[in-house]
Amino acid sequence: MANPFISAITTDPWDSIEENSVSEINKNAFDLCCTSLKTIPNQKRTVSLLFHGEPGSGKTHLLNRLRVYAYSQQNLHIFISVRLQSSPHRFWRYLRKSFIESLMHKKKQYTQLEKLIFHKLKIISGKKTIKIKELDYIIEQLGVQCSLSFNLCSIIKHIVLKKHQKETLSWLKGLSLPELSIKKLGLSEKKNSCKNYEEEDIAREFILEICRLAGHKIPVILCFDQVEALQRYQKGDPESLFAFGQAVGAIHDQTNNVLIVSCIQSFFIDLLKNSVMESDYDRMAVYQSTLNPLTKEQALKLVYMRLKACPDITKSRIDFLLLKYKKELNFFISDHGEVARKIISKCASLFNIWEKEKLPETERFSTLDAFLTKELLVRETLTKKNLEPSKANDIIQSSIPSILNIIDNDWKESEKELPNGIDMILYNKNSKTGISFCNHENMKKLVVKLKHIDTLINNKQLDKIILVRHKDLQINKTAKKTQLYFEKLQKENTVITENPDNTVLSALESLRSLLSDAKSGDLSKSGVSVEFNSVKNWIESKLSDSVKDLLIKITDKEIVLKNHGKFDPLSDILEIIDKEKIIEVAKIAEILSLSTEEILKSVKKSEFKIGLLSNSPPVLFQFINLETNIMDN
Amino acid sequence: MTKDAKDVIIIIIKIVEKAYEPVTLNTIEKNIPSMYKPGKKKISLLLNELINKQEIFSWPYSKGKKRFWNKDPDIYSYNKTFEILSNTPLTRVELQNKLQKVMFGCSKSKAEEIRKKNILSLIKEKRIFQHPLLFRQKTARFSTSLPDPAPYLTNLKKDFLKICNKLTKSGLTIDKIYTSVCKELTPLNLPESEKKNCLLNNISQNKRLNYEKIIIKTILEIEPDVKKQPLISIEKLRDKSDIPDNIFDKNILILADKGKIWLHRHAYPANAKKKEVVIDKNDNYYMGIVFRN
Repeated sequence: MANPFISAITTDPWDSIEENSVSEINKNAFDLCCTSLKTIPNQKRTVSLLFHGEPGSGKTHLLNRLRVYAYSQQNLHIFISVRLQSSPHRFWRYLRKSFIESLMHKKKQYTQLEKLIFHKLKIISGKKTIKIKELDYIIEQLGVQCSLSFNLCSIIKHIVLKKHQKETLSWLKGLSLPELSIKKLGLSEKKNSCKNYEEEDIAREFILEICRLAGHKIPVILCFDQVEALQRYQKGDPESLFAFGQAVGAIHDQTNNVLIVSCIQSFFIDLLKNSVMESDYDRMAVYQSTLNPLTKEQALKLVYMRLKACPDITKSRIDFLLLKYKKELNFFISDHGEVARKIISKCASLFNIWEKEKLPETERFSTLDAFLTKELLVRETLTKKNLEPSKANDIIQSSIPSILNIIDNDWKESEKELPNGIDMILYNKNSKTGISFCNHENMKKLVVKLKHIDTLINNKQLDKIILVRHKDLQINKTAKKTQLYFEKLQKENTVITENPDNTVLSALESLRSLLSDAKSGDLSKSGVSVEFNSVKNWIESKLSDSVKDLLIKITDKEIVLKNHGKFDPLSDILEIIDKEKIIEVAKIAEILSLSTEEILKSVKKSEFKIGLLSNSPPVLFQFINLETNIMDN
Repeated sequence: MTKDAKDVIIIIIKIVEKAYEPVTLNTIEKNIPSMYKPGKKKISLLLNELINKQEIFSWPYSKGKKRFWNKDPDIYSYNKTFEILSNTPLTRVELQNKLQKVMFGCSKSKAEEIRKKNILSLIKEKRIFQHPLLFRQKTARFSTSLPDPAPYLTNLKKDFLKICNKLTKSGLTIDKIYTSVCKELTPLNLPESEKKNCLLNNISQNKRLNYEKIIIKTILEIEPDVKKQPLISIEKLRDKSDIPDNIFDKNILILADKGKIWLHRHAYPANAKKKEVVIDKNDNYYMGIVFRN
């Protein structure tokens, strides 16, 4: 019998949830979303909501419910979900890419973007069907009415005619296109610029264009999840949050049909408030609501819905199981309530015990090391499947600053204006390394960039420049100038060429997503969020060789792994002692497949949480802090 | 176990679950639909099985009959003892009589046993307090609150009035005498933390101390529009409510237990400062509260 509680945690707003929702859970927040959504077409203004809750309190689930609700409405709604796992320097470009990925989600046979375009064309033409010869004129009308650029109008035409789909999608995502594709799509090419801020401006304008295309009658629901993941460094990153605040402020002011929903963790609210401008915070949080823990009654309803949704369980069995859950949850959930994720996780393990008599392999104790290794491996495999050279820029820019900062917290990304040709500068007290992304398909643009770098070498602004071009991207044989520049630059002492392959990129991307999930409280082991510090410690001792090599190129320093590549088992020991309260050292050593000496060495670091009775056999026990005991006052 | 037995177990659990008080074997038997009735002996065996699995609990005898319920009698009586004593201070006998009633008519000896056990553990946990004997009182009283000092000060008041009578004859005003007494009794030399305690004690000299009220008042001061359920940080609330830290922590947890506030955990407790969090006995670190409507 399938466990109805396994995979029942919403990790993506696009998951199917209709059967599992309990309307009373987070009702206030959901009602606020619905009311705000109605406000937009009536008052022709953008509304912003800020939700906060504990990790696992159902923020992503709320977004999912909002999507289902929006889709069930008679009038068209656009739903955009953005997991903020990006660098602040590429924020708008990342947003553009996320916008398109969401717009490409299909409902029945059409994508959201197709639906939007067809809907608008229908309104402009006043007809249900349009002849091909009329199409140009109607799109032109649409362009004038919504102030759309020439390029977007051309792309709209290709979408309607279902032509050049691959190139169209690449353009929509803001990726570099070869000259041939640009000609094929009939796009006008702007002067070759490779300034970072100009590219950001283009991406911002594109997003505003999409919002204008929708118009005030079609609300665009723009959801920002994992805002915490924007922080690149261990000791806070106010610049990233500031950039986020500015972006939300801009969307708020320059649109009239967007419902901006930002979800953050409760503890993060003060940090966010202090990092963004007051006026931006006000724009971000016009309305606020809290996602609270579940009461015992709500938890039982959730259990009932999950059991009911499982076709293998008979009605009488549901009644019986419900009684058992009621008894167990009565003890598990305190009067303060408990977050949904922990409840579901508890129910899942109880179901396994009751229905399968013994725990399956996956449910037995797994060490944090094993859990993170497996998690990383799964992510790497998934990333590799969809990896294209065009994603290299995004992956490197969003991952390197945070990973580098973990290995050596002196290293940071420069916030100053970047010189032409450089996309990112990483620096510490003694050194400054510039990184230039040369993953262009368009050789004209690449040659301009290489020219800029050539000039830059003479200025000696940077100690080193790394040219990044994906291993699979070849330089056209006809692009003589590009080849010449590449050869010339490679001869320079201060220039290094790096050709990352999909293995390096997937390793970087997986590490980044692991860190982002940990920062946002979305990385959970048996229903409990894994702390960022634990992931950080693990990365410090387990960094793969491919990533290490890349970091060495940037820093020019040998990277020594913490504990000689061995992960400290302290967090696992704490987890076991939390469950067992008192346990023999030998027993823990057996569970973790370590020697008793290794356990004792690790325990010494946490004298305040673990006690040791050194008799024979030695025993570990949990310290109860009497000062924190409620009854003790 | 046969399928029939499983069905009877479900029915028994439902009967016990629905009952408003502990039920006897006869009542259980009466309520089992006739097509499932397995006979008293079988029911008794199944009940024992359920008791062993702690699905239901055996309750103290009443009128010589064994009873069953889904609530653990130990936990139930413990909570009830606390509840009874939170209303008014009671003597041992008064408490015992009330316990006999709330335990749905258990024997006197059982009620005495429960009373002894619960008073002992509640005092040990400092959830109830034994009040010192007052003039003419012969037996001690127990309550969830600390004793009100006012009744203990009656003799002091009489003595003070006598002194006032003497001194006013020599020309001193009552105000001056009172000021002088206050000066003598103000604990000027106490450390800052103790002064804070004294100050707070003075606030409700004649009433029961109610820190919960102070906390709720402060919440409303910080965020008057509680209907929107805003999150208030523990740090801010602690600063504004001006209550000693240990008492503040205790009362926050009590308010959460009473369902008056929601507590929000800190995601990175290792990075949190002591002031920013309230810690419960399970080592949960809470960083914020939300007022429950």
